[in-house]
Amino acid sequence: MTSMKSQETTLLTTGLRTYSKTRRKAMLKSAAIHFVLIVACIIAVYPFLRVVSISLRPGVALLSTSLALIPKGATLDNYRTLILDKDFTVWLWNSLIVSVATVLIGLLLAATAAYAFSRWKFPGRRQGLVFLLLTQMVPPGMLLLPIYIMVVRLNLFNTYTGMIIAYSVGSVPFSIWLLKGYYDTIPKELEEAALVDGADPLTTFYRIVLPLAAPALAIAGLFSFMTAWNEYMMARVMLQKASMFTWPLGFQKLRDQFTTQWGVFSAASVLVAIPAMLLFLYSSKWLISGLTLGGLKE
Amino acid sequence: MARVYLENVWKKFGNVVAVRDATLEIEDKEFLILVGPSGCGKSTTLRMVAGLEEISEGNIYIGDTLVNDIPPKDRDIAMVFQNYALYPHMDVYNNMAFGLKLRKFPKAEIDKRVHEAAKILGIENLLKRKPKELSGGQRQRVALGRAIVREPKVFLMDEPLSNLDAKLRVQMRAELAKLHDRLQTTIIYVTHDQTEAMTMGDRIVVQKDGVIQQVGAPMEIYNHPDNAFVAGFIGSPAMNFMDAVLRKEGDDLWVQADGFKVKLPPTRFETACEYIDKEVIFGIRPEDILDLDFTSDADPDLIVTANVDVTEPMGAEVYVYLSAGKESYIARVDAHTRARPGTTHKVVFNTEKAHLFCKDTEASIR
Repeated sequence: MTSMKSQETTLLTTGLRTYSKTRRKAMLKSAAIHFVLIVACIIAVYPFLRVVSISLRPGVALLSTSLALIPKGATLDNYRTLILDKDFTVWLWNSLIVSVATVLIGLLLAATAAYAFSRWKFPGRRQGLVFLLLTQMVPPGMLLLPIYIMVVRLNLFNTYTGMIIAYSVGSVPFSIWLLKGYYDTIPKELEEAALVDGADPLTTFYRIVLPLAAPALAIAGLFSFMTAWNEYMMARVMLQKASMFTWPLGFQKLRDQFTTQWGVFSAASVLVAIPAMLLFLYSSKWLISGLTLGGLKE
Repeated sequence: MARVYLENVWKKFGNVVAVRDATLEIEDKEFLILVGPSGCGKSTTLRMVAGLEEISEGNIYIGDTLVNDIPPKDRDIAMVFQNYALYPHMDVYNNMAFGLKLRKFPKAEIDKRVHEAAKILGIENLLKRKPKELSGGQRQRVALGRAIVREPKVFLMDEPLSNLDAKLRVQMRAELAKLHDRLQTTIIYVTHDQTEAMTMGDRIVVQKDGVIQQVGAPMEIYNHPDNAFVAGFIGSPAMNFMDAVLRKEGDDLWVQADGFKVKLPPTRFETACEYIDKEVIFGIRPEDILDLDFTSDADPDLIVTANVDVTEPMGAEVYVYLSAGKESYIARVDAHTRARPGTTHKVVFNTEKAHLFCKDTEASIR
């Protein structure tokens, strides 16, 4: 009886020791992961905070070397100047129109084209996919001249339409590849079940496939938006009328030949980051994996 | 409710023939089982009835309508898939209501049908859950529910129980049979599990390499298989097959195999006489090999002494793996058998129930 009790105690002690060892290991691992992530966050966020800091500085302290994030005599003057004295809202509006339209048109074309590439076998399917991939290998600079010539001949110079077409050309092939890859992972049985349930192919596409492809659509949408939102080179070639300028072109105007208004420039940088940040935050709920979980026997 | 008629239906994938000249009539309200090994064309046949696979040649009728060119949505069928195929982004209620919503049923009617089906299947408390929050058995019920609410002319079921564990499968098997009695609808059910085939259907269709081998009631197929494939596929443990030669000695007909010689009943003489002195396949089911210890008045001409290789106790009975000469076979005997591995044991071949197959064509000799 006594020996059994001591055996039990030994087992319990060994068990507890192993448990606390495993727990310690897990805590150390978690601490290491947190440390790396915190350092990465600081590296990512700090430059942005510096820009915010510069945008808040009063005119006299623009060239200060202080590292304080909230400068002495912080003011919103730069924002006021930017919004009231410059054409900032016009640039922002132009950028928004072009970017949102690029996203919508890009997604509409890519979502349907990718579905065809994913689900149907047709002559030229393979070649088409390779061709789309090849377009991504051409440096954007090389496309400037041909696109410029086409846009001028089509009388789309200095227009939203011209810009939207030019940006879509760049983003649609990538989106098609991305979405095709995702559609390939959506089980065909779900569509077949819908067909038997009474849906036609188009209904099946928008009631079953599209909702399940939300994560890929969100990524494709973000990619298209960011391509159009940040683009400078193409806009520089295709837009000459000041009222049509997108914000990257407008920013160029903030730099004069002899001086640059760094405070205003920083304020503008902060403001243009906001739509992109909001979009990222909004789409994060769609960027969840495992949306198709549970539909089929795994 | 409707009859389904397949008339000389072929399905080819390039050079591969998946279904070869299938002609089959499924009666109204019948529970028909398509059974066969993997790749035999049973699922393809079902998918052609569903309209998910185009027909290469032939005609398919549902009711009196030729449905060759009618899309799945207009065939008034419902299908239960092997892997459930529930819509992951919809809850159970909407999964079941989807088909009715597409057909623009009034909301009250949809609600009524979904709740009725959920009640039948015992999933009323799961209506708000997403498929990923359900167990395998629950998902299977939802898939069934989605089919039931539609009240279609024909139910198509593609191995609906194959992903469930053994216990649940037995339970669902009984429930499906009950459901058929209750709904009184035509059901075409695909399975590779011969137990499901035997226990659930009114009739069984056995397929192999795209060809229908035999159509008949379960016991008819079990007792009178048309060929060696059907005989071997239906029944568990499978029928024993042995190479043998038919001999005539006096007025008696004997089966001579390597390791034993047994007499056939006189009733076999008429059908088997043309095979005398020829090689045949002798088939006998494990339950027709009897333990001599439990057989009274055994005919000495039917007794075979064999080596016991392995015994598998199953509880109520024992599977005894025997060998004599180069032939091995399984006997299904009483749990109290004295057969032990490494010993010899006497068994009785009930040749009244034995089968003979032509060595060349494997067709039944009867």
